[in-house]
Amino acid sequence: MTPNAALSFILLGTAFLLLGHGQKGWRLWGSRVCCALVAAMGLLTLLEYTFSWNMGLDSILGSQPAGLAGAVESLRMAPTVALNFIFLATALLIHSRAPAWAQVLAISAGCIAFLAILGYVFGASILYQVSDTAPMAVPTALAFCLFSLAFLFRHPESGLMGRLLGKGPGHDMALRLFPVGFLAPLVTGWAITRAVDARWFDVDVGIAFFAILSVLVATGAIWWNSALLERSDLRRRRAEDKEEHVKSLNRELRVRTSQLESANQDLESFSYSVSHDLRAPLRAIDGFSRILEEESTALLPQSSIRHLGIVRAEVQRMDALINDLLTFARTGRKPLEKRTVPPAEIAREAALEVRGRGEDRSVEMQVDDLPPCKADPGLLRVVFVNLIDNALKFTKDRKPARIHVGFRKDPGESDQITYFVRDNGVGFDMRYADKLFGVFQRLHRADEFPGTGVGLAIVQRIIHRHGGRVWAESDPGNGATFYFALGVT
Amino acid sequence: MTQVVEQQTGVDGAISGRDEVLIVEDNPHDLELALHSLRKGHLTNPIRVARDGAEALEYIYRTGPYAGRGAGQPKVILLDLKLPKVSGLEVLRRLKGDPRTREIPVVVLTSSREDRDIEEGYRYGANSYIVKPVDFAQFTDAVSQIGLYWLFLNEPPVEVGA
Repeated sequence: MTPNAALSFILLGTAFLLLGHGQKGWRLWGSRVCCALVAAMGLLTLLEYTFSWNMGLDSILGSQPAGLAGAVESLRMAPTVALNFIFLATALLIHSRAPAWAQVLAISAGCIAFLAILGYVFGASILYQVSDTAPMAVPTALAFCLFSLAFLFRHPESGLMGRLLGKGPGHDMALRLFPVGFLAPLVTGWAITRAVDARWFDVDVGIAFFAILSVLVATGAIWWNSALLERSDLRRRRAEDKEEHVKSLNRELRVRTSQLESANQDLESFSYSVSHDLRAPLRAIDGFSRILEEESTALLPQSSIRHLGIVRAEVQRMDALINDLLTFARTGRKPLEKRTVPPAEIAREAALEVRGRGEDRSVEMQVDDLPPCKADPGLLRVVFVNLIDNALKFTKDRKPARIHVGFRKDPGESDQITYFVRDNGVGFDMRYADKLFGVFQRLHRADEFPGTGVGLAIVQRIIHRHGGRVWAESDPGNGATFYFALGVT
Repeated sequence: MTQVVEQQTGVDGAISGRDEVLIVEDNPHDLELALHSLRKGHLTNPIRVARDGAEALEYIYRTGPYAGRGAGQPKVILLDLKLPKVSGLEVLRRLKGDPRTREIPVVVLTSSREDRDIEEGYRYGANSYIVKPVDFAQFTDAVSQIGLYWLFLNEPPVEVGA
C-alpha cells in the first residue's frame, strides 16, 4: 500500500467516523473536507496516469527508500485504487441526499477490490494490475472491501440494503441466498484453481467441475429456499385460517349478543306488562265481586256468597303469584354489587323481619358467628329471608320450632364457605330434591303450607348469579337443611 | 269524551265553585271502581273524567272541545300512567313543566309497581305515587283517602292556575 493510499484511508475513516455523530456543525464540515481531500487525491492521481504527469504528489509523505531508487511509479497508488477512493469519497459526500447512488458507488468500489482479491486467489494478475501500472495490494483490496461493507451496513434500512436486511419473507430469502451466492463460487473457484495448479486435472476439466459445482450449489440453494418459503407460507395460511375462524366466531358472538339483548328487552317489556296489564282485570274481578257481594247479599243464597269468597281468594292468590314472579324477574335483572359482607348480621335482620310479619310462635332461633363472604348485601338478605321464612313455614306444627343458621368449611374448597339454614320441620322427600328450586314448584299441598313456590327459585337464582351453589338435604319428618356456598374473594 | 259523573251546577260546564277532581283513566272498569270508591268515601265534589292523555291535556289547557270551558283548574288530578295517545308520564311532564299548571297536585294512580315508573313519576314532579291495590277493600280505602287528603287536608297555594 502506498503512503498516499494509507493517508487516504485515514482521511476516509475519519470522515466516516465523523458522520457517525450526526450530520451537523463542524463534524459535517470536517467530514466533507476529508472526503474532498481523498477525492482530489484520487482525481489527481488519475490525471497523472492519463497525461503522464508527475506533480510530486506521490512524495508528499517523503521519498521512497534508497534501495528502490528509480521506481517512482511504484510509490504512486494504482489507478483502480485512485478510482475506488473517488467512488468512496463521493459516496460519503452524497449519501444523505442520494443513498441509493451512494450505495451503488460503494458496491462498485467493493466489487473492484473483490476482483483484485479474486485475482490474487486465482493467480490472475490482470484482475489486480491494470496493464503495467502499480498493482492494488492485498491489504488495500481488503481495506476497500471492509470499508464498503462498513458503509453499506451504516444505513442498512435504506436504499439497496433495505432489500437485503429488512423484515419479511423476501428479505429473509435475500439474506439466506446472499452468502451462498457470494462465497460458493469463490471457494469452489479457488479450490479448482489450486487443483489445476497441482496438475490434478486440466483447465477444461476444472471449468467443467466449476460449472457442475455451481449448478449443484445453485440448485441446492434454490431447493432449500423453496422448501423454507413453502413452510413459511403454510404457517401464514394456517394463521390466516385461524384468524378467519376467530373472526367468524366474533361475528357469531355479536349476533348472539344482539339476540340476547333483544330477548332481554322482550323479557323486560313482558314483565312490565305483567306488572301493569295483568293486575287491572284482577282488580276488576275482585272489585265487582265485592260490590256484588255487598249489594246483593240479601238476594243470593249462602252457597253463592261462598263462591264469591272463593273468587276473591283466588284473585288474591293470583296477585301474590304475579308479585312473586316479578320479584323473581327483578332478582335476575338488577346488577350485582358484590362486596365483603357480614352474613350473621344480615341473617339476624332477616330473621327479625320474617318473625315480625308472622304470628307469635315459640321459635328457638340460633345464628352462629358466620364468616364473611363476597356478596350483594341486598340479595343475600333476600336469600336469608326466603330460607328462614321457609323454615318457619314448615315448622309450624313443631313445639318448639328450632331454626339454626350456621356454616361449614368444606375441605379442599378454601375459597368458598358453605352456609346453611336447618330446621326441625316436616322436611321433604329427597326423591324430589331437584324440583325444590324450580319456579312454582311445590312439594306440599297449598292447604297444608301456603306459598306460591317462588321463594326457593329466587334463592337459587341469586346464588347462581353469585357463581355459588345451592342444595338441600332432608330426613322426612325430622327437618330439612338448605345449604348455599359462596366465594370468599 | 268527558263524562260528567257527579251533579254539576253552572252553565257550559263551568266549574260551580266547588273543588273539582280530574280522573285520567282509560280502563272503564277501573274507572267505575274508582268512582264507586269515591262515592263510598262520601265525596261530593264534582268529578271530571278524561279517557286518555290527550283529552286530559285538552281539558286542562282549554283546547279542542274544551276551548269554551270556564276558568278554574281541578284541585287534584288522579293520573293513570298507561294511557292511549299521550302517556301519563308525558301528561305529567307537560303539566309540571308549565308554570301555569305546575302547582296542580297530581297523584299517580297506577297498576305499575316498576321501579322505573316510580322513579320517573317523581322525577317529573308527581306529588304522590299510589299503586292500585288489587284487593277491592284496600283499593276503596286508598281512593277515598286520596280524595280526603288532597281535597280537605292539603292546603294548596292561593287559587291554582286561574
